[in-house]
Amino acid sequence: MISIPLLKQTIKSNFGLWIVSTLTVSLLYTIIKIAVGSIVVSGSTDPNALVPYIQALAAAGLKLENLFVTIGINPDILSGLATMDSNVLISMIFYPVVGVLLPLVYTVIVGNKLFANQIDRGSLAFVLSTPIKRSKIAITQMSYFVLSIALMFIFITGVDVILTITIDNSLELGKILLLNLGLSLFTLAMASITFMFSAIFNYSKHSLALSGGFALVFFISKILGLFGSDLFMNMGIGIEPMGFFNNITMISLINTSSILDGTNDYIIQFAILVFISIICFTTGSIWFTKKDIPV
Amino acid sequence: MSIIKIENLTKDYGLSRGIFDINLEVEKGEILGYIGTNGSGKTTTIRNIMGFIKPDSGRVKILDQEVNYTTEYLMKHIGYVPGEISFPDIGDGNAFLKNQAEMIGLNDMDYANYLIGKLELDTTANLKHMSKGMKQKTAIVSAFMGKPDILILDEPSTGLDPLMRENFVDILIEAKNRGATIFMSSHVFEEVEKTCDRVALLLNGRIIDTVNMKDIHHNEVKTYVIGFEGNEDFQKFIKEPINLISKKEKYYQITVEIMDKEINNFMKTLNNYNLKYIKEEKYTLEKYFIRKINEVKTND
Repeated sequence: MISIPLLKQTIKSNFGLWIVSTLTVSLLYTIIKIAVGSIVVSGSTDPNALVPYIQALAAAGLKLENLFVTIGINPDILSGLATMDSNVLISMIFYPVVGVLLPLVYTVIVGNKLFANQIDRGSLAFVLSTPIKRSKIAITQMSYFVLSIALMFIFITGVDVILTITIDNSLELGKILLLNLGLSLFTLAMASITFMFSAIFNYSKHSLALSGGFALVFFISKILGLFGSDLFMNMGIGIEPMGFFNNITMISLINTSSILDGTNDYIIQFAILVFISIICFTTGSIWFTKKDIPV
Repeated sequence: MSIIKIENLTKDYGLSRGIFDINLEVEKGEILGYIGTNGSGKTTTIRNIMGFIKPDSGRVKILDQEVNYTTEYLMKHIGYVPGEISFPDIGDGNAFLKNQAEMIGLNDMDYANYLIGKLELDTTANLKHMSKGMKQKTAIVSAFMGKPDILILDEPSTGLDPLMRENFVDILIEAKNRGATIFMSSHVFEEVEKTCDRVALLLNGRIIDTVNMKDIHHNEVKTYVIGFEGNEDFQKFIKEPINLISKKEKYYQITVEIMDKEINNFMKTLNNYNLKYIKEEKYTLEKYFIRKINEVKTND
């Protein structure tokens, strides 16, 4: 099924980037969790302290909502602010934005190195001129990609679990695991896309342009989409039409709201990520066995 | 028995680039030289032989098997030196050769070590920092170490210094002596002359001629350059009924072509003249090649 010497070669040439990505993401997790762990949640003050203010407003025949309208703030954000939880904020921004970035870079660079870069430079000649089948080469490279991402997230999730137990236990462990699973499935799907472009094109510039292009669009759209998200809308800093961007980024398939709310919507979206991975990995592998490789 | 058989091979890249209707056979134990100018299609032919790319029409057969993307099992018989050498990113020369040996299922590194010694290759150097020559040597070791039956070499001596080129020629001859069949492209006429049995000349993607090296080595027409002491002799000589190729009046020098059977008559004629020098100009593959190209060009 796979070629061990080729696998060793691929591990050797990508190990540096793997270790840097894995450790950096772990470090980011640690910093953020320590920061969150030290937050004194503002909502924990005694709500009874508000009672005299509300009574005073009522006595004067005024409503709190009207006060906001007078100042020019949408009164809807009152309910938003009342239910706001800093953990939600962190989970919805940290995992799908900060957590995504480095694995995204990893997939784009490694994906390109698996085929296109080696064809472009010509080094694949030394593999193709051995009795290893093209399909075996493709499966070996895919196995490396899938396993390296799995190991990366096993490590990162391990760090996250330890941090959750020791420093910041504001989120349930189950949700932590699901958020990380979502992140890893997204990374896998992204890897399959870069794998496919790398297998299709014989030039690095083409493979990188498409893989990097998708990665960039997904990432920027996620950030822009945040402004249209319920979270930002509730905080009163949302811009509703920006929600459009959430529809064009694959990162939306890590449905953080569903995971945090405990609904089951995320399951189908995880399945879509797995489906994308299967399609792209298969397409890339088949393509690689059926094309001219000028080395 | 022909080991490599190329039949009507065409790979058209448009704008008259590519290779067109190539027909060649390489017999067992033969070294075939594949000579052509830059961009004439040598590498395209070789990529077709290796099955890395598919022809638009025609075919390549190795050991009677038609080569295509899925004939990787043939690779256990083949050693390959690519035209442009770039290594995977896996450390030093040793690591690369060891990994390559694993890929071809080679356990015995004795011959590899012999080749490393013969080419004076420092395998502890990092692949990234290797000079062109070192890369070339590493690729040669990788192709030859498994003692393959067939060697496909794309300009294998590029970047080697003249001394190493000699050693490489030795390695080629060793391979030939143990019965290997070799297809070698080159633009170094000298090494082709020293090693090849036959040479195919490629121009603009077409084979314009295939020559037996014996015919070049044992050419019955010899070329001589003769310098005279003075203008008088020079002027008198050019009126002789002799096949004059060129003359340089300034140096009182002429170039003539003489058939071997007429050499005695020619010497007698020369007896009547005061010579400054006479030298034979060796008939080389390079001259043959240039003459052929000019022939083709004038025919166009």
